[in-house]
Amino acid sequence: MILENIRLALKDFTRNKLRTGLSMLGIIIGVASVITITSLGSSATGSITAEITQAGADTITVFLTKGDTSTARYFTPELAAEMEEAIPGINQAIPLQQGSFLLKYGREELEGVTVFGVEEAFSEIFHSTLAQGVFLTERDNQGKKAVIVLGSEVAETLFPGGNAAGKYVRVFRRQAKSFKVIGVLEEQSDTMGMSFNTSAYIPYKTYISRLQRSDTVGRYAIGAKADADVLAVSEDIETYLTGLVGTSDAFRVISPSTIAEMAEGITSILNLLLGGVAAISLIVGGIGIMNIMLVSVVERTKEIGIRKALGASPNVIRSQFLVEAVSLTFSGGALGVITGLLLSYLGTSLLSWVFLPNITAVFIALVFSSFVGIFFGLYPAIKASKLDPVVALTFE
Amino acid sequence: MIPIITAENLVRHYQMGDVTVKALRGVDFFINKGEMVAILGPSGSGKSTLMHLIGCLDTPTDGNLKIDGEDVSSFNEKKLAGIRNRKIGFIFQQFNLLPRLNVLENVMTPLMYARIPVKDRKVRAEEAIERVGLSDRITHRPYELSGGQKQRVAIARALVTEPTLILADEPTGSLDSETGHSILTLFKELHDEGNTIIMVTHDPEIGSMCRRKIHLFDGRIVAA
Ligand SMILES: Nc1ncnc2c1ncn2[C@@H]1O[C@H](COP(=O)(O)OP(=O)(O)OP(=O)(O)O)[C@@H](O)[C@H]1O
Ligand SMILES: [Mg+2]
Repeated sequence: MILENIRLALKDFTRNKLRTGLSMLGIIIGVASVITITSLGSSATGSITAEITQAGADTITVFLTKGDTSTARYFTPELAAEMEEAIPGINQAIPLQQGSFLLKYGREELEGVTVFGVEEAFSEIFHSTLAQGVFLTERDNQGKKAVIVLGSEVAETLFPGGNAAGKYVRVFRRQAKSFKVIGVLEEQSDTMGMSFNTSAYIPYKTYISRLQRSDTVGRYAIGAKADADVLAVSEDIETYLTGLVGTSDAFRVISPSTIAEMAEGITSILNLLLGGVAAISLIVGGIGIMNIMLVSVVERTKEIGIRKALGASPNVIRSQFLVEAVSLTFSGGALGVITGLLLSYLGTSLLSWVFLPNITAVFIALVFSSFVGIFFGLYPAIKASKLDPVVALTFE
Repeated sequence: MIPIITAENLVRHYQMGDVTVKALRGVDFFINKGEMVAILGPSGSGKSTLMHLIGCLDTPTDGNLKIDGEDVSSFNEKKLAGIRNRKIGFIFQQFNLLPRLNVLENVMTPLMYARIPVKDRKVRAEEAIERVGLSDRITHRPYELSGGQKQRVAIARALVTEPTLILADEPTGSLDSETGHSILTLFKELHDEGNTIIMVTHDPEIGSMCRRKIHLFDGRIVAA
């Protein structure tokens, strides 16, 4: 009988398309927006996570607050080694310097290349691999050698014919300095404010002695141990540095994991907000359904009377109208889900994110919209079931 | 003779604000199995009120009513619905078909409430429709039928559950005399087949057709 009622209800909806559509609109819009936003949210988190796993989640960067002269004296190149010593979760730590320079080779030149002063461990910390030659060594650093490793795009621009290793490039600030190319990095996607492909790398000591004098470092790059919890290591670094400097305002410890955590935090706040929006829209939608069901009960008083005369008990009439209300809200929910999935698919493909529909949200939305049907359909259904058979039959 | 209906001092009052409308003021009668009874009387005399009580659509204010051995005067809505479904076939002046369903579905509806399996419902409904001569209209919707055809569908729907009792409240009241006559012929045949039929009518033809007549006047039986 339930099945027949569903069939009857659906038949009725298709007959009364406009009215059905309008009464479902609240639920459709509510569910569609929830599905869209949750799916966009999970797609965003998914995309960030995917990027992080690609870049390696074990890299931690300590950024220094610019212009904080009172604490600048603490941030020496040696601090890297001290942190490595003091914090067990650290595998390697190095200081970094960076500046923007013009690079030339023959007639080829490239403006705005970020030249980093780094130590040997750099390539390991950032999981960089070499396309040509070798990376900088500690000997290059100690000897303040004029050697350079190029990012892939820099190498392509300066050496369109390939084969950069062994050539001499000139680095300009005020005057030109000549550097021997000893290696070229493989292409590598950006992470933590580093654009590997458009950068070049020279020994740290070479950088401060030849390119730019500086007593404080630009930032520290730290690689966590493979088995360490990156977030815990980040916290240890934070505690250590706060203890050393006396304030946590002078620096910021950032790892892909903190970013992922932030993204997740934002998503969960968003989901919470959405829960509220969803609840309100479903209630509003439900009231719309209740309204239409009450109208329907009045319109079909005669039908109810006839059905009662044929032997339908109050329970049977009640379930007929309940089934109808639930069919209405469930269809609305399903349409909302389809609309929401379509919208979020469009959104993610526009943003070129991976499309990760939030299946839990879809499930909850469908369950909830059925529940709304039961809740808001109950009163009209009970009203219908309690109609007096004779009064209903003689209703004009 | 087995009495199918026993009514003792049936009273039905309607409370309209301060006024009490005494539609039935205490009627006693019994009706035996296989009888065809006409209920006659002027407008407002309580004929429909009595039919609603016999049909278990309504309960008496006072008095006792036994249908097929069951005292229905104290039944609740659910039990009354069961009696209506199993024992009563109702036919109305206004046909009262379900407009959204076709002929077959209309006739199958009481069987659905009797929880008969879908397969059997269809077979039995088709039989009933054939009995009233409408097999060629089985997929038609009520608005595609003439008045006489609609009343035949209503009769098929009343017959399909094989009820103990067929009740008809002015079944020819909305039909022209010729169509009405053919419907009456159908009722006569059903009676001859052994059905117990009670009919409310103003029509003298029906009166003459029924061996037994109950005359109502102002809520009382004046002649039986
Ligand atoms: N629901 C009701 N509320 C109040 N009074 C009612 C109700 N139903 C019937 N009555 C009154 O009860 C009396 C009997 O009505 P009933 O419908 O039984 O008459 P009837 O014999 O069927 O008349 P008709 O031949 O016109 O159909 C009438 O006076 C009517 O006004
Ligand atoms: Mg009447």
